[in-house]
Amino acid sequence: MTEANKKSEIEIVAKVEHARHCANFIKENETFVFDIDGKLLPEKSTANLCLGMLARIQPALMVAKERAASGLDPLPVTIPYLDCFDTGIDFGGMGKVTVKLFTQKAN
Amino acid sequence: MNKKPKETTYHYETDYLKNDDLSELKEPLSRALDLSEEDFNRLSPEVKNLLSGRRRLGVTWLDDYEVVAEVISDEGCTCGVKRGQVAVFDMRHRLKTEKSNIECCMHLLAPVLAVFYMSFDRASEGLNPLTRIWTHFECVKTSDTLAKNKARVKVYLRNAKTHEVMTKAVLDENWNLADDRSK
Repeated sequence: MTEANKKSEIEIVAKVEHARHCANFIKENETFVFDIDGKLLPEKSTANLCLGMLARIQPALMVAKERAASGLDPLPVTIPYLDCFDTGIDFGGMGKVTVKLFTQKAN
Repeated sequence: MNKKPKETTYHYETDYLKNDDLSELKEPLSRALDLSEEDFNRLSPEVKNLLSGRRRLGVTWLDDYEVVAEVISDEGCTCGVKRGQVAVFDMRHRLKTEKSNIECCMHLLAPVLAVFYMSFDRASEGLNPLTRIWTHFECVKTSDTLAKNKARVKVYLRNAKTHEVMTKAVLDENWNLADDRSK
């Protein structure tokens, strides 16, 4: 981990709110944790690190960084849910995972 | 639960799995993915093709291979990504942290997901699951150097156990195209 990130006090957490037929066996209440620069922190994350979910979160990490740099709450007040790239069993896919974003203070 | 009538797939003239219930895959997949009988029976043609990759590359192909994204340039990167670092994914696009030493910057790794959209499609045809066209990806940040300085990765497929790089175009030893098999 870089020196800059050690100093970061804010982390972005994506907590699994719902999961169904997920081929990576992601389960509710598991988490993906990121620093404010948009880097995944595997040692703090409890979910299997599926790129189909992580890539969906990436744009939100850019927003969070921008907002934090502007002195705002990193997460906007719009609906804080994101779902994975798999379209789910009813729409030509298989599974579907939905996460809710929030921030936490880094320890 | 959303219920939707089955759609027709328009990508190919022939859906060779139309009357194939994937019987040998039904039980283990249903157990692994928590699929009811009803769930399994309404799998879309697209997902049936996805699952059929097991027939071409072996039932354990998702565990037999892995995709490596190796950093080949790091100019301008402020996230700690360095040339030579690797991110290793299994074929379900799960990051294998035990084999990876990359700073897990999502702005660099997110674009790599495209590899896996192609991999299932290619596997269902018996091809090497890694595209031989889209093998380089880069950070989504443009920066004020007008995209000249970026972290970039090249991707390759390797055997998960031996780490032998897999460059054969076709991995199915009994290879023929799906449309040929339906005749």
